Amino acid sequence: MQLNAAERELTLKVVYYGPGLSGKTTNLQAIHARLDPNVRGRLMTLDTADDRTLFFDMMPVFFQTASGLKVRLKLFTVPGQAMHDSTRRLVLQGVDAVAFIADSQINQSKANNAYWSDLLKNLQQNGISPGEIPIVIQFNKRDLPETRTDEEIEGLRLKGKEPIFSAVAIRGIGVLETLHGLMLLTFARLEKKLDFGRKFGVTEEEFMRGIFRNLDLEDSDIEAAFG
Amino acid sequence: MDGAAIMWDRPPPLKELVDIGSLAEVCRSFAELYGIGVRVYDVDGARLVDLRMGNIDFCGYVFGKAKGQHLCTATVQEIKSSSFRSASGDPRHEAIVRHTCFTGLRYLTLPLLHEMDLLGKIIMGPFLPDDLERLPDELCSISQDFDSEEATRLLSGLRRAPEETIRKVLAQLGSIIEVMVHSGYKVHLTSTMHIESVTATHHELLDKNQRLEESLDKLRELDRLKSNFLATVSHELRTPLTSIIGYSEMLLEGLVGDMSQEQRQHVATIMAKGDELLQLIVSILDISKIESGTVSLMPVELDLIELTETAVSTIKPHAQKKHLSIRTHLARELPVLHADKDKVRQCIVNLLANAVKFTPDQGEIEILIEPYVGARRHAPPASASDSGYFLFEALDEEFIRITVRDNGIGIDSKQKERIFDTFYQVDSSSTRAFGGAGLGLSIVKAYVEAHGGEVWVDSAPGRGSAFSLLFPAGREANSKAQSIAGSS
Repeated sequence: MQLNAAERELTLKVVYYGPGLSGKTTNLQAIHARLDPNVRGRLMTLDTADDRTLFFDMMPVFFQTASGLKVRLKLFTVPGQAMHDSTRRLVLQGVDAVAFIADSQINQSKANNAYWSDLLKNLQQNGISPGEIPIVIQFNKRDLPETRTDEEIEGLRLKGKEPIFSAVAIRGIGVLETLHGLMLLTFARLEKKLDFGRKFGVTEEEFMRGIFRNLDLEDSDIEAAFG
Repeated sequence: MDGAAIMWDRPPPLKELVDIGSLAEVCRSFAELYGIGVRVYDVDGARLVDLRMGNIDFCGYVFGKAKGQHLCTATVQEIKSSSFRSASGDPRHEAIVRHTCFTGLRYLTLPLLHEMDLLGKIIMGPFLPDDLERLPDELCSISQDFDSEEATRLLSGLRRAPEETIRKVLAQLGSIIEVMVHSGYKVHLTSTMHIESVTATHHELLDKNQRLEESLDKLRELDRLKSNFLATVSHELRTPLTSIIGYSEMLLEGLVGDMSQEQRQHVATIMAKGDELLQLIVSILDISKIESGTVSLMPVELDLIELTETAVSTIKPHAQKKHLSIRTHLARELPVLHADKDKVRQCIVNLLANAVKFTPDQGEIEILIEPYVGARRHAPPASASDSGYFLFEALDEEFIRITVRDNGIGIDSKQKERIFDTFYQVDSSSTRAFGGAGLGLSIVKAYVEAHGGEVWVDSAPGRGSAFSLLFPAGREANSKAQSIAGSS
């Protein structure tokens, strides 16, 4: 997190992490597609080869609160291929929140586990304690055959402390819900760490509305929350 | 700059994000198309692009008057210092700002933003608004000699247009420059990421190299301990074995009384097997000395005829058992060979022993000794300071070549390099037909290389083998290499 109190600017870094081809870039593209074209920043994709991310994708979302605080949210993806470990570690530097995109296909369970421990290891190497930062898990590709059952995912939800979301990112399903869940945790952490609401005069509702007001929420589970 | 900083930091200044020449070109195309000047300033007020269109004569005339100069300067100052920072609300919606000059001419300014950060501004103007019907009084009163007609005539050089149109043009120019900024920012991030990830990989490699070096040191130490152990054990084995052989010999010679024929046969077997074991132990001792680097050469001028005869006589009894013929060919004229006599003889003996072992009954073995002039097969790495070798190709040198050829079972090409490795056996199965510890050839290779020579084999399965040893000829050649380093 980068807070410039004098200029009243807050920058938050959100990283989409996960194994190769699990749909990290697709998540960002789905969010981008639902942003109001008049206000959205560009989705920046850095150096791709064969449609695979080499460095990262980055998409900015920004808004200004009534109290005059500029909030910049930068969404990043990491390259999923195993060879880019050092890049994943670089992108994770100074991260504020992580969305772990898991592939629901049964044959990807091993990769999910490997990248989950990879995430924890790289967070620690960047001096970030994994227990302290907001993390949500998204089980993507729910529409494919040979995937983990809903019961299995429910079992994981009960077992772990991270909120779990189901998604079909390619159709935009579950993408906004994942971001919404992650942003709620992020605000809670800002409150805890900075006494954010009181110091900067920003309520959770205003924070969430700032991020989601320019997004097309139709048919998403969070539509009601901003109704 | 670390990775976090790359992604956090404000974008670099406008002049680093976009190529100023290209920016000027884009602005020029707009300026010329619409006949209106364009200026671009960065956030610190530095002017990056300055294109004037049609107003030079008019503004020059006004600037010529003292009051005109004063008012003009103030207008320019106002436009330059107009701030977008104070504007509230979503900065993306910030409107184009209008500045009206005391002459009635107009300027429009547009903030250049990148992700909410102000990077600079674009100023378009001056233009003549189409709703300006006559020259303002403030202009006409700047001086007593102000000539309205002349001023009106000069104004005709300026573009007259509705402000709304120019707003659209400016917005269009702004979006093109924004795309340029975006592309520049992307290139900036990509190249910074490239550098960062290469640096990270470099550090990882350094760490790995460090760890590899440490394990290499440990392995070297272990290797040295192994060689010491082999040397000690072999020595301890040899001492009692000498007694076994010695006492067997005394029994055979009848020094302690007569024995029956059967007893003599048994004792002879004990002695023969003891000799075999002794040879093996001597080989292990040799190789462990080579590996620990404790062998030294004692070069003398060799009599190759005598040397070959001794070597052949050592191996002859074994050859006769298999009815093998051993023929020796020495070239008439041979250069002087200055080398360690025992080591060279041992090399020939080892090769002959191998030939005997792998050649079927009634086979033929040949020893050829001849001069050889040519380049080394494995030239040592050349360096600028190593004047002995050319950088790109090895020089021809003079050698003595000793070849031991047989018509035995031969070796396939895959095994050719490995047969010189210590303890290597072509057939390492427990049921193999040929005995041996796999030390003979590695000893040969170590001894030849210690003399600065080379060894190789020409062979094919079923077509026999020819082992060639090259020893550098001449008195000086072999006196340099005095000690044998480990063969690995």
